[in-house]
Amino acid sequence: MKNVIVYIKKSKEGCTRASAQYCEGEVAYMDYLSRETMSIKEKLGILSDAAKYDVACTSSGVDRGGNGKDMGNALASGICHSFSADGRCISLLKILLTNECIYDCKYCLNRRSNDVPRAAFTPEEICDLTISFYRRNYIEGLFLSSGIIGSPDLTMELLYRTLALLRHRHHFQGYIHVKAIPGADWELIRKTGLLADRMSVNLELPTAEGLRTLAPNKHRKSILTPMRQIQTGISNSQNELAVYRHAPRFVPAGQSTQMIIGATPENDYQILSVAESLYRKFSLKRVFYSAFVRVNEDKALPALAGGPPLLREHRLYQADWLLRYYGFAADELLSEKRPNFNILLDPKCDWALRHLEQFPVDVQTAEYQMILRVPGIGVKSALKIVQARRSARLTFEDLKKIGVVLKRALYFITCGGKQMYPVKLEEDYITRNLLYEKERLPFDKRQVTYKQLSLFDDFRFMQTGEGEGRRWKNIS
Amino acid sequence: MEEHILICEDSLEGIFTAVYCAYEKHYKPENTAIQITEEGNLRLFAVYEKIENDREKSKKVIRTLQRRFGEEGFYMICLALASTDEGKGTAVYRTIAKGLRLSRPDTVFNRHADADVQRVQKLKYNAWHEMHQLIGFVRFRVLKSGILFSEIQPKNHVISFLADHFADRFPAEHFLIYDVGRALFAVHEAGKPWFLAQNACFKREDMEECEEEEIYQELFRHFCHKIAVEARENSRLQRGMLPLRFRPYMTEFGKADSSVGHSFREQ
Repeated sequence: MKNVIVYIKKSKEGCTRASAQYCEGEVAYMDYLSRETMSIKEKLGILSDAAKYDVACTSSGVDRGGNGKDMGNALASGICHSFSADGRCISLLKILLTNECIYDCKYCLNRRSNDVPRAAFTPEEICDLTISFYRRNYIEGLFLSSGIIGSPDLTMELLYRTLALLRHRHHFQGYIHVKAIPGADWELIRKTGLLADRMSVNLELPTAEGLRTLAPNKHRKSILTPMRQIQTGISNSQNELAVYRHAPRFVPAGQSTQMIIGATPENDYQILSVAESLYRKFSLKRVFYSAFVRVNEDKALPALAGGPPLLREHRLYQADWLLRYYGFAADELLSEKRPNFNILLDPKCDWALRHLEQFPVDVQTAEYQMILRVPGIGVKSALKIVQARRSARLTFEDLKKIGVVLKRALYFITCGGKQMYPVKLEEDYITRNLLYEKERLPFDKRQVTYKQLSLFDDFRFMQTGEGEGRRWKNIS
Repeated sequence: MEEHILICEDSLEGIFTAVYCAYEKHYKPENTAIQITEEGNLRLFAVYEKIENDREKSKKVIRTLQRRFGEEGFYMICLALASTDEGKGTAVYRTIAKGLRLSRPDTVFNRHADADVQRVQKLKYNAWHEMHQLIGFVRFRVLKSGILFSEIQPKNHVISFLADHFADRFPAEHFLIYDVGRALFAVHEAGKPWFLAQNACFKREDMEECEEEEIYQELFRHFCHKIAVEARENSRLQRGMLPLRFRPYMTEFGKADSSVGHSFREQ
């Protein structure tokens, strides 16, 4: 512990930009560390608890083979190491450097006005945890975020020191995702980005207005500025790499962001349009949506009776995939007139039902882009269809084996001009049939996968309950 | 039409030797099967042949496959053969035969409407998927000697793919991966290529964990517990993503059971 303080003191002496706020924070951080008597386990508990509402835990986007001497490599597909009780993937050691924060964002557990236990890791402690966990194959790397301690500059500096220690002293080659702190100096962000694989700046709320009401210390502009800088940094780095193979790589796995869904009154159309422009204009790798969980009591926050809006979040992710992989545009899926997603149907089925004039699609002859738009056909099956039809005439049996979900696709496709069954291409008819096939939702707990056959399950049976013969009739 | 059934050992070498023999004798692929187990129900009018492993022949086949199907195609074939399916030999053999008739053999994997190719694709996917899961789910324990030790019980024969991955990830570590079901060790010594060892014996005192091991296991369990969002709890989703069969060997599920830790043969 003492070493760390000395280390920080030393680096402070060399610091020329030491504003009053910066030094104050530095002292506060040191004070913290010297005062703290918490065990590592307690700290880990507090600081992972405080980090858990950040959704991104992906370790994807960069392929880096081992260098034959240091520990670590990275796979482009990403690797999930475990799944927590909420069913979300645990891939990275997701922790905060500290949950001390000078801001007072209403939705956040770590806001200044909350009376919660506070803690801070030293850079060494984080390195030790990361290396020890990585070596035992518990994790794929580190996801480091932080509350704002002292000033954005100081926080960014501390994040940088941690990463520098991990990369330079411990020669860690695994995956690192780090937050860029809005308002921090670009030079600090740039230095950090050269050590990280992915960087993210949280958009927090989809619109500037939402941000004003719930996060009074944050501004839309200060969030978008580092996002733009990182984007420029990435494209510059790629240009350099094209010329010099060994040029340093800046944020090679790209940048991501996240938005809280359901804390402010934006509709799905607004949210999806924001996501679309982030993909197009800021070349983000991923936009994450986080269903709002009410952790603070505050009159500015909505009370959500049914728990976090998981269905809404699910629909947004479905639509997000349609934007990124299926060539859809936000205003194809939603519009000012229909600003929210259908609760009962996924966005792709919903779109198809409103555009029946484009169907049926013949799998033998249609273009790839059109096949991709058929409900029940995903990116993989569409590719397989296009590959397979070069050498064979496809049958519905083949489509099934390729992985097409025929119970959804059959209304929209023909094989060599023939339908699977004689079905009508009619909105009401198809809707009814699609709704009959219940959609599998990842969070629906009532849904039973295996059901014991029982006479008494039939609710009609319970209601009538007259003569014996009547009952049997009901069941048959 | 005569049917030929070649019986061989369940290994890359065995199956590739059988493929070589089928080609050598100009059998028709449609009427030839490669079987990896002894037939319980002998078939009438089928000619059974027992194929002995032959390293030279299998090497020749491997060379041809690498040259004609490319590294990726060869990798797919190996993954398909890592599965436990009984018909894998025949499906792979017929896919190879179909591929070699094409000017670009690797495009045979695009023929998704072909039954044999479909079978190979499916087997490959199963093995690949389990391998990919295990790359994440393998848990190492650090022993007193500093060796990393892990146990797995996969359905498919994926240990060599795992060893490849971890040798790349931990070049400077000694590690052991033990396939409980097959009694097979993958052994990696720092800075050297890894190898497989069957029926290896270890002393109990060699398998004792180092002192900090319990601390880090406890820390990780605590982390996994804390990182879950209570308001979103969903054990059905968790079970779908991380099937129960993997959990006995994973640190974060229950206390590490010492009986699990010593399931291999002791001296």
